[in-house]
Amino acid sequence: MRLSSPLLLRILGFAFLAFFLIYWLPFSHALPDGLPMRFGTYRTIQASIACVWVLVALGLNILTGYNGQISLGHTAFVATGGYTAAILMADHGWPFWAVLIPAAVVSGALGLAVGIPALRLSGPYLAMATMALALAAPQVLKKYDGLTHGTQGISVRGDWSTAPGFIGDMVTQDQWSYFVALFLAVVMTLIAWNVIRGRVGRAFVAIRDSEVAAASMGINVPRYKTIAFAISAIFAGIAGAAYVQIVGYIAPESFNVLRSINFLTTIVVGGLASILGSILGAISFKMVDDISDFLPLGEGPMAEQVPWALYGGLLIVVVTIMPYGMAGAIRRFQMWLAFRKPSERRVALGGPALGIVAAIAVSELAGGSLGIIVGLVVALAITYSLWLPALVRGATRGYGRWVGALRGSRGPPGFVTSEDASDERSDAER
Amino acid sequence: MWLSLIGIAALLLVLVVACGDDEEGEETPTGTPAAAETPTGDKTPTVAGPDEGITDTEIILGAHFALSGTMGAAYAPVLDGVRSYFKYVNAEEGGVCGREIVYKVEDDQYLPSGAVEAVAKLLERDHIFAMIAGLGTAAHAAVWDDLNEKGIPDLWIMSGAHMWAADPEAHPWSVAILPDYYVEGTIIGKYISENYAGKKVGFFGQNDEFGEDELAGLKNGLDPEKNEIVSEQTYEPTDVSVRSQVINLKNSGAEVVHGACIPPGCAQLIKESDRLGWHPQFFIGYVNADAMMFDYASPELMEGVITLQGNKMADWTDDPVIAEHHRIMDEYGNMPAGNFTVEGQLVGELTVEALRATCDNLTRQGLMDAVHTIFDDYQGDIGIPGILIDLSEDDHYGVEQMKLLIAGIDENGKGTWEYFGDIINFREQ
Repeated sequence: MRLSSPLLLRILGFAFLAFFLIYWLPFSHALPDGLPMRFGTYRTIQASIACVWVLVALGLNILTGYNGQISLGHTAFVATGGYTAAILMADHGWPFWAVLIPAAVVSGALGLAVGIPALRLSGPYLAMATMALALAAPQVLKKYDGLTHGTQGISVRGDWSTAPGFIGDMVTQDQWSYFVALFLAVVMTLIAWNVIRGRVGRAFVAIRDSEVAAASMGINVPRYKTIAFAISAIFAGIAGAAYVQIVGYIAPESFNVLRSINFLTTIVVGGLASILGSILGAISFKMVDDISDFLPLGEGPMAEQVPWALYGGLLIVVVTIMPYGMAGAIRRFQMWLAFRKPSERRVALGGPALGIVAAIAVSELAGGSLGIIVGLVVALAITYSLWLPALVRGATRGYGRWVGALRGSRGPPGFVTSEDASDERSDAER
Repeated sequence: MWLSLIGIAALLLVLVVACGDDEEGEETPTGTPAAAETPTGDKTPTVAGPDEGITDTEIILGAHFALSGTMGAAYAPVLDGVRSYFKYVNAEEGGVCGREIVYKVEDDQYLPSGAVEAVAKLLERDHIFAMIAGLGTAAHAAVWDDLNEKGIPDLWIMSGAHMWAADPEAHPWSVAILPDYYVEGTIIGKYISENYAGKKVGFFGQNDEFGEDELAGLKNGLDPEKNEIVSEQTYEPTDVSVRSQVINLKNSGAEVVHGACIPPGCAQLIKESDRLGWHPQFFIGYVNADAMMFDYASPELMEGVITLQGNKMADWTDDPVIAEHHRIMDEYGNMPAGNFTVEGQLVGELTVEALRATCDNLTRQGLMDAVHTIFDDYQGDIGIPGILIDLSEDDHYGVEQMKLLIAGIDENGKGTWEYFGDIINFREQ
């Protein structure tokens, strides 16, 4: 078979991604101080935690994006998994790999238990009921302090987190934690992908689009809705175990309700009913968490309040101009590209690439975050000048959708309905 | 096809941006697969060098602190007090040991995971010499083992949990400053049994380690023959209303109530009781001993409320130290002077004091040795006379004396805190 150039590009892309994730990010801090590509322990820990959020987002997207059930209570599942792992490791001396299954099982059982009453609820009512779960979880954890160590939390430290054998000689604990989290994220992504593409996933989507139609086709609606909850909780439970493994400490305050709401915004921003969207959403969510890293705000009240204001503004912008989240924007861009001439296509793809090169060049010359910002502005300027017509159309339609939602004729942006599908089609026809 | 390519590109873009200042192009000289198999780095967990954080011109200190979220607003003045004092020392006293103090603060959102990241960043990016005033029980609990393993001085922990100084051998690098909540509960319990014998006691506490420690202390201090606890109520810092708890307290017939709460919670307790027409004798934890309480609840309601404190009050503007503090806050701070900024200055002064004693041997071990030796019944100028700080290798409790404080109203109708009674030694409790 002859290697076509797109296939070659794809292989190269994956190779670079793998190289980046497996070597560049975790190991480059072993390089001497002066070298510019150092990532370091701090970024490694951040990347590990991003992997945990990827796990949560994948699970939540299966439930909300694919099955149409809203959950604001996912911190409860993460906490259940995390506590199961922490108790078994700290109090019973289990190794980390052995606690993954119990963490998933206990959390999944809780998901089943919640999924059954959830059958009677939908939309905002379900959101409220699950939010109650997130609110109750810390109280329950504090109540049974014989098991959970109450408000003290559980500190998990010791041999369990070091890598086995010869690998232990090559990596530090933080790097090992990162590899474990990355491994779990990759494996669970593949599992999620499999679930979604299989019979179960098709049933989820059918139920989301129309329960009546799904039932008439022979799908056992209550059963699949409960299964969706359980699967989602299993993902969250494994995320909890990975969290304990990285942070080494868990307390009732580790997961507050705000975090639960953030999980939901994560998948909306990333893209509902999209695996790529879950991943992109979780990574960008982690970055927004650390937004002050990238902004030269100095110190004082300004630096403390501005990131949150920016976060809010960013959410509005993203939801307005990217009604289907980041994954949807990529899909739209891809569709738009398909109708361009090859020369235009080269410019559209070259724009961001040039921008990245410019960002690197400027940051090397001027140093610091200023260079990054300038480079990004250049990238955005080149790219957006090409995308502008499509962008304006998207934005105006996004606005129209909000108006429509207020009038009650359409769902809010981000929720894919059959009407949207016809929208997409007419876009393509145009 | 394109989808996956663009997906990868976007992912890379995100990750490339994520590497912030340490940017680099696609080509890395060391980035060969061969290098991946044999990493050259030291395998030991990044042990910091003995003099890390000390340069010819700077001493770099750091803290993880809740800058955002509900707790951020409540204790931000403490941080501002520390920061302003360091700025003052740099500007007017020429720094310490001929070097400028740089104080790096990372937001942890009051979360354990946030604290772990913050500390990783402080150690690796900022190369801090010591941790000064890390805030929050859960947040600090997630990082203090790590700091002790790496041998980073972890001074003046901003939490009164019992564990910090309970075992200095296991955690030789961690030093507490705030008095123990358990001991405070004990002191208040004893005071109630001595002065309010026979009265029923109610407890209102935050549903976390703070409330639990205080309740255990209160039970320890109360004489069971003289007083009994008739009701134990808990609240969450996020609660919008504490009415049901207050109604339970009232119905239990409690005549004396101890509140283990932070200022917004305590203010709700006092205001809600007034609305129900119920006026028991209130005791509240020392974390409330600030003039801001009179803004949360009116001076009339606050009158007679008892708490504990050991520092000079921020409204004693006749005192030269406090007058100077007001000037420092006006000139270098972002917030008005209050008892919390005074506490911040206390932390700043202790740090500077310890660093000055370390100038000849500016190492982490040297700093700990100084902390162990110079604070021998040390009378700072922030504490009222008789409040001594005593630290040694086997005593890591910071402030261990306090005095009772009662809320009153001055001639202008403003609320004031007045000291009364003798100095109470926490060590003897």
